[in-house]
Amino acid sequence: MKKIQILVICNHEEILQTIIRLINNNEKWNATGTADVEKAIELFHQHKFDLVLLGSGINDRDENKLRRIFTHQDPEIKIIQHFGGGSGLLSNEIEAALSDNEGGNFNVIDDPFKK
Amino acid sequence: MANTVLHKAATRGHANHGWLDSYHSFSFANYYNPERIHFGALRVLNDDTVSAAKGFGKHPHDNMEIISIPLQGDLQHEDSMGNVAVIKNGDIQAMSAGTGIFHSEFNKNKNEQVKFLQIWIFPNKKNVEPRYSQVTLNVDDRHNKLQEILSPNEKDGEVWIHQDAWFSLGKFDKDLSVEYDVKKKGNGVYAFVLNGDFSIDGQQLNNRDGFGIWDTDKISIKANSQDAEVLLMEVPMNV
Repeated sequence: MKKIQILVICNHEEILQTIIRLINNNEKWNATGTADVEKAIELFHQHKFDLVLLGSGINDRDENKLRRIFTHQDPEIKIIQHFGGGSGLLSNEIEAALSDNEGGNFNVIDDPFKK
Repeated sequence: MANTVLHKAATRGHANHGWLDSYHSFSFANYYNPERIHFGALRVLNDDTVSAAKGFGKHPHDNMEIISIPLQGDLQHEDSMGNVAVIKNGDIQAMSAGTGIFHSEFNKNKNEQVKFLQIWIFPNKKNVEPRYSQVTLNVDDRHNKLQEILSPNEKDGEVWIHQDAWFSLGKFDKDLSVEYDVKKKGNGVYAFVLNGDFSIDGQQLNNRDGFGIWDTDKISIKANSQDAEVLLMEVPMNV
């Protein structure tokens, strides 16, 4: 069975490792993670991902750069903000993004910090 | 004209793990309902009961404002910032996860459950320095009136968070009415009944019902039972 490939980018190393572990606990998902923005871009060029999770410590400039590069390469890529791996939201965030649902009056794919 | 959404108590997500019995007003963990993701900046409202001497082991959060309100019993909190504290019934705790923190929450009591609300709000600023605060509330200040317990501003007697949000608690005698003025244009209010029965803008509400109202300046609240208690959470709707 082909696994869903998820790229996790998070500046907090311990949280990054927690998220990777939690994602990989799900037999349907596989996580690749990095704290480094340039490494993330390199990984995205080298591999096909289904979903990108942006985590803590990514500043606005880097986030905009990542979104621009990723969507240019793959206009269908889903990029979502996550809020910490042990949060109880991780599965929700991933499931909602993959199901392409617009939950409630908020599209989970949107960035809640975007004005 | 105001818009509303009603979440009856029995329609919440529910997970019973033995040591933890949790009701989710919004999608959380294994409860996923695309119609119940959030109410504006209010993302999580969990109504938790934790068994004696049990709790949540060390886990991370980032970029979220996390508020805990014990309703019965006490909760021991420890975090990666070095804070160790007991949050008692009558307290409110607010934690800005910001760039990332780890924390644990345990029922300190060996003989009694702890019941508490865990509430998560999207912040208005990313990657802030993590911070923690806790306040003991004066229960007399909410008898037959609304007591502000959280706001965006640092004030005595309440906690603050990185968001244009205001929380209030009230405990009312039967038939008492009050009005709540929305503090910021564009905000909505999510009312959560902690005990008893209310009418809020004409909607009948019972124990643990949730009711969200937006596109209004003012909300009318009437207690339909003695010692009725309600938590009002005013949050930005445009997130």
